[in-house]
Amino acid sequence: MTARSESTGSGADLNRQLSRVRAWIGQLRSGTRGLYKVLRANPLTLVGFALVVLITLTAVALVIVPPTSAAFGYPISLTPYDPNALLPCPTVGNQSFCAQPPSLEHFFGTDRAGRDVLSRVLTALPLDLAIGFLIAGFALLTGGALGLIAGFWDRPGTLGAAVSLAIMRVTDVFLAFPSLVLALAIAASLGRGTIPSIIAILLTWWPYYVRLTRGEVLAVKHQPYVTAARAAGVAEWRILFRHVLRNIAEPLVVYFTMDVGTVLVVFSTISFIGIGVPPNVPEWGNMIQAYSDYLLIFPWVVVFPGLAIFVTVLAFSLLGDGLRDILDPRSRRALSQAETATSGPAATVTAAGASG
Amino acid sequence: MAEPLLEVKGLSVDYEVGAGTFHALSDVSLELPAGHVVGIVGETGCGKSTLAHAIPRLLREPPARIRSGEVRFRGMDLLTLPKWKLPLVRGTGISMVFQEPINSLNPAFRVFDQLSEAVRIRKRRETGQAPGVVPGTEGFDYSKREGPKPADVLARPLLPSGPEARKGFSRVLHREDFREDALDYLRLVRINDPETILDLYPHELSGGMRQRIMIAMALSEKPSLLIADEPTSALDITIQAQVLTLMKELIEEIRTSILFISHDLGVIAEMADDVGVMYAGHLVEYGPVNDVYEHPRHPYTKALLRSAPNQYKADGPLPSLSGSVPNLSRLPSGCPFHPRCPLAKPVCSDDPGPVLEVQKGTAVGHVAACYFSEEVAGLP
Amino acid sequence: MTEALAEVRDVTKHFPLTQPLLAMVQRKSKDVIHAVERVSLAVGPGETVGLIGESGSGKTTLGWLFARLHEPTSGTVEFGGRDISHLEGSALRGIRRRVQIVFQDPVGSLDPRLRAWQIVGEPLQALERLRRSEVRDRVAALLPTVGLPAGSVDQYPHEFSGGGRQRLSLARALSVRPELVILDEPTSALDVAVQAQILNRLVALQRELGLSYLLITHNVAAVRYVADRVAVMYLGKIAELGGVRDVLERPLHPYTKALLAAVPAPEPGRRKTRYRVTGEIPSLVHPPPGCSFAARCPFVIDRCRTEEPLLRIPEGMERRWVACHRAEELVDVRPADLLAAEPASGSGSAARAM
Repeated sequence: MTARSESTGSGADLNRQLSRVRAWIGQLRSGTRGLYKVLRANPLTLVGFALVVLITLTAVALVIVPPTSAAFGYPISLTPYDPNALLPCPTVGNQSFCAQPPSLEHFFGTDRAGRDVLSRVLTALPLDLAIGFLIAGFALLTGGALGLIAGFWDRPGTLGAAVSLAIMRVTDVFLAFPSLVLALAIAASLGRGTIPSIIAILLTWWPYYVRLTRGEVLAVKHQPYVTAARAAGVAEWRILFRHVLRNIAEPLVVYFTMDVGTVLVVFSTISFIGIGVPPNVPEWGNMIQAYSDYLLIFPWVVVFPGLAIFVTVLAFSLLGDGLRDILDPRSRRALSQAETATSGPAATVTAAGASG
Repeated sequence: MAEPLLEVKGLSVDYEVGAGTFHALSDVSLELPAGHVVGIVGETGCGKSTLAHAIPRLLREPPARIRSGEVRFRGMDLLTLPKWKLPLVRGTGISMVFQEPINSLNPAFRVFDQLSEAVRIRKRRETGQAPGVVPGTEGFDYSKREGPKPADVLARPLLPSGPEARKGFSRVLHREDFREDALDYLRLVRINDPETILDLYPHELSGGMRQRIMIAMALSEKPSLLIADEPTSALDITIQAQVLTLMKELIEEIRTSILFISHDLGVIAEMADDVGVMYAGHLVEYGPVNDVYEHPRHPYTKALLRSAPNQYKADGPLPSLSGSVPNLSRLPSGCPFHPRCPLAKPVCSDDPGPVLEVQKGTAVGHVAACYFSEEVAGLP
Repeated sequence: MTEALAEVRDVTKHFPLTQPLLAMVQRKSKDVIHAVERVSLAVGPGETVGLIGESGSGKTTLGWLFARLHEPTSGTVEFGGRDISHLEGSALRGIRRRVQIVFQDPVGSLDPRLRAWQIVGEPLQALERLRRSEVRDRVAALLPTVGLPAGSVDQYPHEFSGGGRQRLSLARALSVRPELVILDEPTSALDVAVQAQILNRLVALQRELGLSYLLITHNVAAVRYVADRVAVMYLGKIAELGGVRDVLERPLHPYTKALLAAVPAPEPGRRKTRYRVTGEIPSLVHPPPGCSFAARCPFVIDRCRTEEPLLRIPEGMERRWVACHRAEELVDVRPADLLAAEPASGSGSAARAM
């Protein structure tokens, strides 16, 4: 919107431009304030929000300063040790005890090969997070677009109806398989590796978004305000973006946020079964798989990667739950009004249930 | 006068939601003598629905919170009754008819299933197979034309005991035993061909029919008190007139006590013996329906009666009440109506506001919460 | 009569029922909802036509046909002398500028995610392709005409009261200066006090802007105050048509009488009255042969059940149309006569005796 300030330089025009920019900044500021208030009102969302921010920042930092390149003379490292370095193991007699329990030196302990678990868990973070976002994001875009088409252009007797029908039937076929089993089958047939397992999940992941999007579109497109827009002369494509997309965005974003965690779990599962990432690549599922037999002997090797998955999934779920409130202007207003008891001239909020 | 069937004293209910505390009911008191129909009228958000739900304690708590007050039904204070005893009062003690005939019937069950359930509850309670408030003797005798004796109304115990109660256990009552009763109640609400209707699902019935079935269900529990919350507001006008006529006939036949909630002054005029006018959670006027409609003693009642439009374009603009209903979370001090009131004087905004009281020179029992109720007659 | 602004001629609208797959395969004849059946009605410039009826009467469908939100199954819809029955795309949007609609549900018909100026400015943006800042300024100037503060342009719909939302809806319809505004139950969701405010505003705006209204409602009081002419609809057909005073004070059709008798008046003493019309509104899928009101009419004769009465001018009258075989005989029956003082027997036999 500010990018359009290419107009003539007359004073009045400049003033208008300025006031527009000011209004935009004001909106931004009130938006941030609204976010802050919602976060303060829901402590759990705040926890989720903080965790997601922390996790994302760590992941970004780890990408900028790759832990594996410490060997190449990086001045600083974010991980205490090189994740792949085999540290010297203490020996008693002629037996070496590489797997050491958590200590001050190694917060998460070391594994049987003598690698620092904390370093490996941290190193795995960018990969796992990127995979979660990538797969869920791709599914959101493709599934969302297909669902939008299937939901919006379904007037009987038109080409759209036929296309919608085709989309939905194909979706149903995919949904008929348990997605995890399907993903495993595809991954197995593609061969071991990170890319094949990503493709396998991608192929099975989008149908859920088609279903969700189509359902939401169907609910929204029969709302009176869509008819009202049509009566006002708004073109169909504009109705789609302005009214339909805007109103279905919230459930989609919420679902997407929670889905990032789910994808992570599935990806880890594929790695756990042993057809995902190669054995030596630090990845949470992979790490659990490598030592799952030793859970009772050196639990820390398995527990900490598991904990990492748990915390990440929890963070996104908590945030996803709270996003509902942040994205909806109704509850956002209600919550921010609770803080400051001021309101506009026509603000007549009637109590829920008090409608006599 | 004898003790009334229902007595509400100083009832205050708040809603605590994210945006603040809404005072849905502020110090509402009223009495409902047995056999009477009391109407409550007011605009959206005036608290009449909250009142209807607060009496049988059907409010969702939270967000609702009963701040203070007393609800005495047949001598029991429902607000201090333990929660587990409330279902024993509902149904056979206090029964309700709701506004939406579509949502109030379970779409998954046939009419018979739902109606017979209501009959079964009542019969089990009557025979002592299940605990509960049993129907009083105050109503439901089709031949009876006299009002009930208040003493009988109040004498009933909450839990039946004694040999009669134990006798009931000899035979367990099943739903199928109540087919005849169910048919009787469908006939009572003037449904032709009740045998067919009994086996239909709610979605196969029209709105008017569904509301009749709701009334039949409520009545089949033989409640001492029927609370009707906007029972005809969702119906078409001619169907509403039919249902209202049915209810009027039932009132004559059954002489049950009804608390009738409506936003429509016309509907209340047709149904009620006494009427209470509510505004912003306050009961502002109460009295016999004739007195209130012909000589309103609260400026809000007067304005409400005047604003029912009944004129042509050529007759000039419609009289309308300026301003809007106050936000229930920020009620004005004193009388809630004073910001819109043509009679307002400084005293009106002083806390606490005026209380319902009988003024000189008017019929006994007609009360208004206004300092200047004698001047209301002079308003345009 | 002067040239009509908008007119429907012999218009019919059927809605298909969703069919089970089996019936589709077997190519059975389709059941349809007969929403509007061969109705003709015109709205003149500067005139208000009230369309009154109960749910299922087809009044909203007819209104939407006028606005071309529905396409007629048969018959024609004309606007300004031009046939718009089957227009599509940009040609139809050209008509939208001249016909706007105010919807019944002031909560549902406003997009909860948009601010007031975006909602009200929607037709402006869609039809006049104005810039955002211009739209906002225009809306700020428009809001006071419907009685809203200009400062409320940035609020969301849920921050307005019920009446405020209906004013927004009205402002949206008026923003492109239409010639005809279709008011679909504009006050039925509002309290009486607010209702009066909105009705006053509607009449004032009509005087200022020279608008034509088609007022769709079940509310007799609203029609009485706003309309010049009234069409009473029952089961997809017009039962009676005439000047507002004529129809409301000397109704001819038994259904109009029944409707007027059913309106609860705020006068005590009606406790004794009993409404003498019984029965249910018939199904729209299988409408009865003959007169559609025959099943509930207290004055029904055998002819009513077999022969459909057509809309006609009754003998000895002008500018009145009624679709009833017995209109002339029943001229002297007042609505109040349909309220018996004694308890009616459920079958309605007492009613039929008169």
